[in-house]
Amino acid sequence: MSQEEKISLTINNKTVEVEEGATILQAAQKIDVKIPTLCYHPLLEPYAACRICMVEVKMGERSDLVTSCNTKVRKGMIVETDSPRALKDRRLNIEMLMARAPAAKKVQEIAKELGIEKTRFEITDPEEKCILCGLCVRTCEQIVGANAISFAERGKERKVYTPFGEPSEACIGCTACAYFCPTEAITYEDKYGRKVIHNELQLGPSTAIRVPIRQAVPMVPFIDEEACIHFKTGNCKICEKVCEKEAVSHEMEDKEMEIEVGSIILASGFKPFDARRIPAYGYGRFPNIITGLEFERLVNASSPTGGKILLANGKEPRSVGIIHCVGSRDENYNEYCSRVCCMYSLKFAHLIKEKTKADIYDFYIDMRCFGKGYEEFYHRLLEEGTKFIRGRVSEISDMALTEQEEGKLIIRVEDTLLGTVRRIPVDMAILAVGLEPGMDQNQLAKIFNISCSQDTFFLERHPKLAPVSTFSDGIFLAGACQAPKDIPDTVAQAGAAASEALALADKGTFALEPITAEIDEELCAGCQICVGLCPFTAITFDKEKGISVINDALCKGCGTCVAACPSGASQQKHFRDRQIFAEIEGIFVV
Amino acid sequence: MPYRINLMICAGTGCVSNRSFHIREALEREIKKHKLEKEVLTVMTGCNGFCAAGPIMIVQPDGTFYQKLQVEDIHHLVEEHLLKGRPVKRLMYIPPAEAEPIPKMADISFFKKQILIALRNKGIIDPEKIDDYIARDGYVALAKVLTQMTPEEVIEEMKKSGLRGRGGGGFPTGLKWELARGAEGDGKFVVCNADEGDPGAFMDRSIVEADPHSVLEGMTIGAYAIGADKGYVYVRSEYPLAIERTLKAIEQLRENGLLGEDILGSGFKFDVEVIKGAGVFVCGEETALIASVEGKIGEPRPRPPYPVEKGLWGKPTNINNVETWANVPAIINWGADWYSKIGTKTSKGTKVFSVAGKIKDAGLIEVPMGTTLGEIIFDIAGGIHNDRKFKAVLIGGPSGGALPSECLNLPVDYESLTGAGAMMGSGGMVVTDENNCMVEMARYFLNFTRDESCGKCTPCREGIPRMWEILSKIKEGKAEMEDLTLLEDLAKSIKDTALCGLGNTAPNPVLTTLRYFREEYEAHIKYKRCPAAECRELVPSPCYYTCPINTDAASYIALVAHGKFKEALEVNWSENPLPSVCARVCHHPCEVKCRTGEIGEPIAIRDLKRFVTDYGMEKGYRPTFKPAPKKDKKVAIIGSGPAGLMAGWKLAQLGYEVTIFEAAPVAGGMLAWAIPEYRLPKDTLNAEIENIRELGVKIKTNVCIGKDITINEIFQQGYKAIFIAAGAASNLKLGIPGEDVDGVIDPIQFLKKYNLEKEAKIGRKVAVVGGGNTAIDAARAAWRLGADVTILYRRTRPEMPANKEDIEAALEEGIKIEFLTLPVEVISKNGKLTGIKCTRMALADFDKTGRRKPVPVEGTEFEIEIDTLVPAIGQEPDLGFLKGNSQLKISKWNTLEVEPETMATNVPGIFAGGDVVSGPSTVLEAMKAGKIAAESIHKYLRGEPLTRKYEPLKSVREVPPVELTEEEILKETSRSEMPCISVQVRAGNFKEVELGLSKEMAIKEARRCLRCDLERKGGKQ
Repeated sequence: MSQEEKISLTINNKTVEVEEGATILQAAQKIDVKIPTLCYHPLLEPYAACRICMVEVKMGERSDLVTSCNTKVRKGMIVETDSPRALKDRRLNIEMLMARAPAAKKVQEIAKELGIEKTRFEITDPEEKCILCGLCVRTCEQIVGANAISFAERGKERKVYTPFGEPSEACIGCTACAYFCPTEAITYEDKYGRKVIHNELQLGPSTAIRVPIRQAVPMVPFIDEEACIHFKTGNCKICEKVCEKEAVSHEMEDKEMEIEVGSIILASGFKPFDARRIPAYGYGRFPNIITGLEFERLVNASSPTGGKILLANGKEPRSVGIIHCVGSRDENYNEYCSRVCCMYSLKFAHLIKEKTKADIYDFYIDMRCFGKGYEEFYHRLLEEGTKFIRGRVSEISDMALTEQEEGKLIIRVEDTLLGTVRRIPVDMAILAVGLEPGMDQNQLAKIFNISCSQDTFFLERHPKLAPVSTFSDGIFLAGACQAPKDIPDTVAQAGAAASEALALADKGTFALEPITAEIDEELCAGCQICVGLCPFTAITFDKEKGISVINDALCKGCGTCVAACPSGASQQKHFRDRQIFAEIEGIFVV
Repeated sequence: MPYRINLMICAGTGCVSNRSFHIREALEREIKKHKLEKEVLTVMTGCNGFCAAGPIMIVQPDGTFYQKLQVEDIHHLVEEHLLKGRPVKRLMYIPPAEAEPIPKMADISFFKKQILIALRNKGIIDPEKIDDYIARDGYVALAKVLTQMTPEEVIEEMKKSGLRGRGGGGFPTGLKWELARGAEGDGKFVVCNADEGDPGAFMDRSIVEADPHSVLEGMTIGAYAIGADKGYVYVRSEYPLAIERTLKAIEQLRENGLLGEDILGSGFKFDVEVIKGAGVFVCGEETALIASVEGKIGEPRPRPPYPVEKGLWGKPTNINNVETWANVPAIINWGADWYSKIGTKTSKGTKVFSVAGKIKDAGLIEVPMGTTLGEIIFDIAGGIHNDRKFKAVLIGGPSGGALPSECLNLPVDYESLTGAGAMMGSGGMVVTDENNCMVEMARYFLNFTRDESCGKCTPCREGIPRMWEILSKIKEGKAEMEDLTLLEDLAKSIKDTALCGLGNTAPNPVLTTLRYFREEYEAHIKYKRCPAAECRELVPSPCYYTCPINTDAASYIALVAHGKFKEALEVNWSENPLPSVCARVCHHPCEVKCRTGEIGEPIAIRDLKRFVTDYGMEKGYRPTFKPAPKKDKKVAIIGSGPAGLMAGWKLAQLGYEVTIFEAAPVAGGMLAWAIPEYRLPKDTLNAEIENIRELGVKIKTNVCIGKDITINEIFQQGYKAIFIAAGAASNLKLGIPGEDVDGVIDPIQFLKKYNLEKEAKIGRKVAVVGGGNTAIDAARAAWRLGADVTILYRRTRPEMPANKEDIEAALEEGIKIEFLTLPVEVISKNGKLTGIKCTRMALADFDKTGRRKPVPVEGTEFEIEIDTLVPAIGQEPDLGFLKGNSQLKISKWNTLEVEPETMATNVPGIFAGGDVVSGPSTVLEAMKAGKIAAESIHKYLRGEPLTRKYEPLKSVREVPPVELTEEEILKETSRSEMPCISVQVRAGNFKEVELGLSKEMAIKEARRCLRCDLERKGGKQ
């Protein structure tokens, strides 16, 4: 059977050629003949249960009604999709479904197209939406592979059910059933926290296969293994089926690659401070308390609200509080100043002013507007009417004491300028969260043999003289992984790091340290103490000889191994014991 | 045979539930007692088929058939038959309406017409013993197939035999096997479908229970033919005995090397597993069965692919039903040629049916294809229970259809049944009689399919309950005609669009009943009537409901039971001016519908009426008919028969001035001069006519319309409406040569003379032709005049239209009835009758009324010597009185044509009813016509439209139930027999034959009533 074989048939007096094995429905779709369907979905095996897609087929003398979703085309078939007989039966079936599921919009639509306004049958439940097409059950079985729902009872009592009507253990919370339901009959409740909410900064649903963020580089989708059905059940792979370019693969795995480079620039960035760590600020409990980054997303033109500043209930806030130094300058969390929060908070205040009529309260400790034009921006805001309150916010709650406070978030703060504790009711609170080192900062440091400062930001070689270099030659730092920075500073530092790397590459060589350690092969006992201690992984163990060997290019001459060697085999060039004792002797001679 | 006698005791499910195991225990006890253990062996066999007679035992080798055995009978039986060799007649089968028992099983009509292939071992072997099966050529076919035939040859043999799937579809078995063999793939399967589950079907179950090895042998042969190595028997778990026996059989096969690896050294391997189904009807559908065996929900899937291509676990699977498999070894053993000789052109072999319902001998039968339905129902199953009228047979259970009496000549084969709208199905036959409502029947089966629908596809899941709802509405009398249209549309649509066989065939009961019994549906909708008197919502109680003039019989029966006779009489008077007359001559349709008759004999309702009226007469009670205020409108009635009297009575009560014109010298019409006094004494009749007169109805006798006064003249005399109830008294001729000779007399004239003048001329040897009431009356009158009377009737006794009790009385009086006899020529000498030439008839095919057509048997002519011939084959109205009123429409039967719902003729102001419209009919039908006409006249005179409004009949009186004694509750009591004067006393006089029930008898009889009127209060059960 050649794959090229085409079959020619007639549908509503039009001739159509399709490949062998195609169904009548597929053939009809090819020439834009519409056949209504309810239980059919191209991704699922034909079920032929709703019987709405029945068409009249003539083959020679015989004339039969068949379901177009599963009947394969045959040569010379004459199909009439709207023959009087097919229409009569279709109408009757739709009428019965209208009575079963009066609230199902899809059924109403088809009924309208068929010219039916009202069902002649008695309606028992006007709220019912389920038409028992089985798409959900089949989705769960064939696509998801979870088999969490099925049909229970039979005949008229048939219903879609979880085992014993209890929340199903088998359910993986993918909600594919609800997605496939043509009549919105399925609702779900996340009982066991199994549902994966695909969020982009908690602001709206997304899918398991997605572009991480709008401005992501590279701008390509990835599969979120945690959310992807395939990685839970081994089924699905719908994305593979629908991608015409066959670009999706579930078989791709993380790979280890070795790339030889001359220098490395670390620009691993930061992570925003997790505001949940300050329970008093209520983040995560009250929907209208959001972080700076979330506000940034909200106000972005491509946000779910289209850039409008709205509360969780969809209304515009009438008052907004911006709290500075959340997680910064605080000995309980981070003692350092995150450098950017004051300015972005001021930007927020300006944006809110521009987009809403809300009153804005800005709670600050010190206003750190250093640099060109920043102080002027602060003054402009003062003029715009933002209310600046100097003092650290102690608590944000919804416990109203007065009628005015009812339904609001109450920010409690000691106004150090007035010298009094104030309660400020607002609709929305924005937490200006600080910058923290990335989560895997220490691990990275270990990999690259560099050090971290006390606050786990990467440590530069010298704060003034070598701010982008590290103690490892050829490894440079750029951006917030070294310290909190704003964008201009980051860019500047990145430029510096790049030129350092370029300089190195241009030279092609680099100077070795003159002072390195060396192992006296005669003395080395092969204890390998030095191997573990070397901070630059410069020492390896030669198994054949049974001794440690030092790589001169890596050794920085720190002397750790020299001090540790129990047999005195490791000696620092130019600083051998003998030399040092000689020097000491010399001093005494003078 | 090492034993002298083998006692084959039926251990089919039916007999087991009739305690056949207790019978066996008793037998063994007795056998031991008489030390017969070495001579007599008891064997428990599979279902014998004659389930109605269970528990059954056959004594082999002589084949004596014992039925309805009780443990108490065994002592006597063993002593008489086994010890003394005297078969016990008392325990043998006595055919209905005969006196002598039939000792041998082979002679009983139930077994006579059967040919046993699938059931070849029923009742002969112990199903639990493989040796028994082998002794009956068991596994010879398998050995033959494995050693001498290639699979292709086996398939060829099957194709040649013409065997078709017995599960109902009728797909050629050989072809199916060939497809399965040709299908690509290894690890094929054979499956035996034993998921039979439709109501009234027990064929497959019985086959498996009676002979599991034949099914397993068939499967093994099939597996060899298609190349399968694994088989499944899918049995529903409601069939525990079938499961147990199959499992035992499989074990025996394994022990004997007939299952497993290398069967009979042929290298062929095969194994069978039993799968217990959960008793789901839809799992009989192939694809659903496969899903069920695979452990999934038993739901069908669309076909193709067919199971022979992609079945169990995607492998080619050949599914056949139990009966098909059981046929296979027989075909291999005796050859395809032998098999294909049995049956019809397209349907070969035999078919097993389970026959149940309203028949005398329910059970399991196997008949050749092409046997007619009538043969099965009447010859094999003994006809209808209580000799009621056959209505329909439902073949194929809930998937089949109801076939009416027109179809009794239908040969049972796949094509004929499908053509008639039913289907073979697996072979369940449920017979219904005139008391079964077809709407209710369709609803019953839909209720089943509604419950059993898996719910996958829309039409079946949604449509069947909707059809059921509409049927319920119809049954409750709440439906409109458009509901019927919707019902029909739904039925057709579901048949067209449902996914699987269950849905496709579920509307069949509705479609066939609509096709054959549409008028019954329309009666429910238009007239709120249930012709079978079954639908609870329309029928307060069947007796009350069936009464043509709606006398609330249920109430007066109940009142009699309470001893409140006067009240009972008043109930009678409320609807009937002639209760004493009716108590003697009514054809009592109420008793046919009586529910007590379903479980025993019906209540003697007419006799109770007789008692009540006699009681009233004795006490001198008079009716208190109250007329409405006088209206100044006059109504004329022509004829003072039952129709005229009824109409006059009704109209007088409404306040009209009524005059009845009667041509005869006495009032009463046929009541007065056609019904002899020994049935209806003149005093009784006259007393009741007097009551009507007292109400103000004038009866002018000796006024002959057309002669003394014309219809137009009646109008001119100021009468505003006329009701013509002139009866039908013109006798029909036989239409045979030589009829017009001296000695041939008109029965009506004869009876008139006899009744009015107390003397009539009749010869010594009289032959009466006919089987109706007139014939019987004429015969009995002639007998009373001393003649030797013979009745010639062309059919048989059950078909005689005359009242049953009158036929019986005639026979008692010594009147001979020659059944199946048709006069063909009158013989005379010199213009004087000397004899009659007759021919014998034989019953042939069934006619539309469900009776067998009598056809003359050639060469059976014979002569009877007679001097008087009374041809009483029917009457027609004498419309001579219409002179000058030719505008009245007359039908082709020479009767007046009226609007049947209003009795109005085409001339305004003239109404007609009774025999003059209907032709000769019963007294009560005439009274009913009079009642309707009176209502119509009332409307006409008030200027209202005549159309009747129909409402469901409602119970008007509520009589509390009597408290029954324990004995009355537990014991089946028989009907009180009407005491009669002895035959000797009857001769030569006109004394009333029936004496009437005594007070005690009446009360006893009335207490038997089941009081279904109470059950129906509020339409609840």
